Amino acid sequence: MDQDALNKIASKGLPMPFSVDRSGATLVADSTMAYKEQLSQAALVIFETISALGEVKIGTIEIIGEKKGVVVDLDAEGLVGTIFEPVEGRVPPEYWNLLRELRVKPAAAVPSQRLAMVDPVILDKIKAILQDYVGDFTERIFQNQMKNQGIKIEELHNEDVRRLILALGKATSMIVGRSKGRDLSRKLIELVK
Amino acid sequence: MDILDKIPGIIGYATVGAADGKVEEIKGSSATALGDLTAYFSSAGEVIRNNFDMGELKYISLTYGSNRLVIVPYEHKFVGFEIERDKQPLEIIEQLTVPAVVERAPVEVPRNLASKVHQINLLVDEFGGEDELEHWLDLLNQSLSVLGRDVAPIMGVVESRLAFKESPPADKEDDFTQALRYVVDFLVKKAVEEMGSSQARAKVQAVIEKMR
Repeated sequence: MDQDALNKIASKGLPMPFSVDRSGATLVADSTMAYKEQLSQAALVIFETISALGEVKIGTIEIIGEKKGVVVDLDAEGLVGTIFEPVEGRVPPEYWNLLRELRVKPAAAVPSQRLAMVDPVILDKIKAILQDYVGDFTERIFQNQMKNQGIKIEELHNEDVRRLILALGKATSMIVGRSKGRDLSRKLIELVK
Repeated sequence: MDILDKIPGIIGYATVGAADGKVEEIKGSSATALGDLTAYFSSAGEVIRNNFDMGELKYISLTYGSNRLVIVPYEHKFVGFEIERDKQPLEIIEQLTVPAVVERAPVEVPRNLASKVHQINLLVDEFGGEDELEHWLDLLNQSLSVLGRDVAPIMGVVESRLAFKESPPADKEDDFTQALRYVVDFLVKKAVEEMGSSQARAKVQAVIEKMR
């Protein structure tokens, strides 16, 4: 992404777009220039907060004040977002589509590690192990955690499997106790080592 | 913050002290670490709000998986409540700030679902008695969180009873019945585990008698 892309999206209706990657490199549209330094600091606060929380994969953040709002869309590489003036505290829904447009990469882009696909067979292996711990509740717990984590079988990535394992360990702890939950997590992690 | 227990759509919530950032209360059937998320993001949101001179904070909203956490300043606290991702934060915030004005439609529950809810409440009363009621309500919330994903946004523990907060959608009746069956199974299995099969069986039998 470059400044031209941000200016182009600004002309389509995103008032003050910006992007910050995980290394802290900050790009802003012309309309956002006055906020460049604050945006670098805000992104650092967001990345550090997410890193402190660990297992929760945050997709979007909205911070809405009386005078201004900031919305960001996150992925493994960084964030894209916009500053705007909220009307009645609402985020105009078209902003999200415009932010997603910024995510579209050239066809020749090199796939990142986040995009490494995993054979869905691993899900059957996970279920077989889970069965030993929660018996009749296996399918229910498995499907609920797949939905909770927003995981799609046809787009299964390494990171999704790791997140699912953490969620299953936690859910199982609630059903059969912490030590068994930990034991399950340990066995499931072996599958992805 | 008992008002939050009654608002349809809220899966769970946490309150955090605005001054010290300490988690004060976590309730409901969310499987997410709502206390930590509310504490960390209320603090991060305040830093960013000051940084951009955004004026008074209205709300912070985060999405993860199929859910959304909405954090609002409320008196001297931050309240973080989890709803489904597709829900609009302001819909719930309005109910939180003017609860007395909101006229809710009467809750209509099909007979088989009402009966299952009654059964669950009787089981919790029977297993918990007077001394262990909180423990069994915790187990009930845990089972809703892990097994009752479909029902969690519109059902919850209100004043120590499992209750519908709004009428279940007609096309979801089977899903709800199934989810509640799982909750019953879980509670009975837990009772067997904690008090032995003969005592658990006697208590289940007492519930069956009460339901006749």
